[in-house]
Amino acid sequence: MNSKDMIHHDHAPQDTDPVADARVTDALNLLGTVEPPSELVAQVMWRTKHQSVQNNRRRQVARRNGEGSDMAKKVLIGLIGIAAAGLLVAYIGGGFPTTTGTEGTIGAAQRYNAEQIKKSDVTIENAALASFMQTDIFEKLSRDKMAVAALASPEVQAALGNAQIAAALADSTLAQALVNADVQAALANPALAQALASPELQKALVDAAANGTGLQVSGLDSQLASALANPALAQALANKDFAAALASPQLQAALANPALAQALANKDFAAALASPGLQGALASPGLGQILADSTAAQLLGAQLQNAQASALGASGAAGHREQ
Amino acid sequence: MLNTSDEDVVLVQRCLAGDSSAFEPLVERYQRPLYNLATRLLGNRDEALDSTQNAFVKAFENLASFDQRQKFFSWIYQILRNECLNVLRGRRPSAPLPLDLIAVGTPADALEEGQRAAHVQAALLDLSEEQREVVLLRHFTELSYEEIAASTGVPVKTVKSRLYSARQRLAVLLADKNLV
Repeated sequence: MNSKDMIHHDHAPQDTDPVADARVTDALNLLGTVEPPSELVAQVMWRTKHQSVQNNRRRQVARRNGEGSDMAKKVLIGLIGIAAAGLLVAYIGGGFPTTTGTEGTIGAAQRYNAEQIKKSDVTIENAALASFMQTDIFEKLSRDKMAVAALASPEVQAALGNAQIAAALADSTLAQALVNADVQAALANPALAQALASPELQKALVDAAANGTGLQVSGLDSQLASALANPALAQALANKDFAAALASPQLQAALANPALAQALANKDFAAALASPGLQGALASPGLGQILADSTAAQLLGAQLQNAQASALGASGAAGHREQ
Repeated sequence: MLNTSDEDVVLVQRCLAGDSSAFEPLVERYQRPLYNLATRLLGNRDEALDSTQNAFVKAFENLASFDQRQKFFSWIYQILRNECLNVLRGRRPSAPLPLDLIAVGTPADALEEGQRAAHVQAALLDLSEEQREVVLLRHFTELSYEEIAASTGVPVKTVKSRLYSARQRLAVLLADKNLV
């Protein structure tokens, strides 16, 4: 917005220096506009979507608990009624047992005394997972809602279990580009994977990356251009970040794997890729080792959810204490 | 044709009726002014991003409490303002103010202009929170004095006097740096 002429000091004292005042306005104009990060909208929408799911769940649980407590009240009233009726019948029928001459010895009640759970009782079989859980990366991941949701998904676990894909996605340029829905659609398009086998396209991508520009599909060989004729694909390729990421041979190899397209179809995954928690984790060899083992990957998803739930519980309790 | 304010109300009503996708155009429309205000209030882009996201999510959660006669921007700005104040209060008193905005919004090669912008941002951060807020709202948004007063919860007269003092102080601070 041009705000040079916005300030009117109708209230200002007479000693205001209009020249100095205009210079202040000029100085403020120097600040310009800060462009919000491209992932802001996607992240907010992701959070609102998951927030509303959580709210619905909370409402459902509350409703169910409400119904449950009503039912419990009815059952309790019924039991009290039955007990009262039984006492009345017994009293009228003289059925109460005698209270005298029945003295005897009763031994100590036999109670079940379970041993306390020791640290050694709680073990995580997978050593890689156990050591990963001691790292800061795990700590950061567990605080990243999007990353936790994505890593709990079997499709995402399967895709990231592939070392090539994990390494390609650890590239922050690609992760930033992936926030764009067109780019996600482009990567899920098999035409792109096929076209990337062409040396001409590979060279064009390397040139575009060197020039810091996007790729113009129209400038390619006609056969190649028609293979990439999909408007979403062309638009994505025109994005300089995406074109630069595609120039990476690692990503080109990863794209040949259908598991990546499958994982990208998961919206949470695409949004989570932009999160710093998952970005840092993907660059760590520990995570790759765990995800390569499907059982360990499942355990990791569950441990992350547990850690997040504990953290939320702790912050909730802290909130209550503060109040 | 609907004006922005009417469109906002329609979108809010759709959200309240259960269509959460109607919130997206609101985020798209207001992300830039809110993120800019948060960045200039806090002087730190990461904190500004977190505060802006939190403000949108809290607004979504509390849409039912939005008075539809009010401007959506004024309402959500109040939420953002509280988020930013929480961040500022959470900073340790001895912690230096972050200033990662050098050359923001300026061409990379215009080093001198970038440095001047950094000095202006530093001068802004030298103002009190109240003064900084009115300068930013007046300069970077299209809010009227009345709307600024409603958003900040002070009378219009106070807004005007804060703005006047803020600009006087800015003139002094910028003169020290030979910028005015």
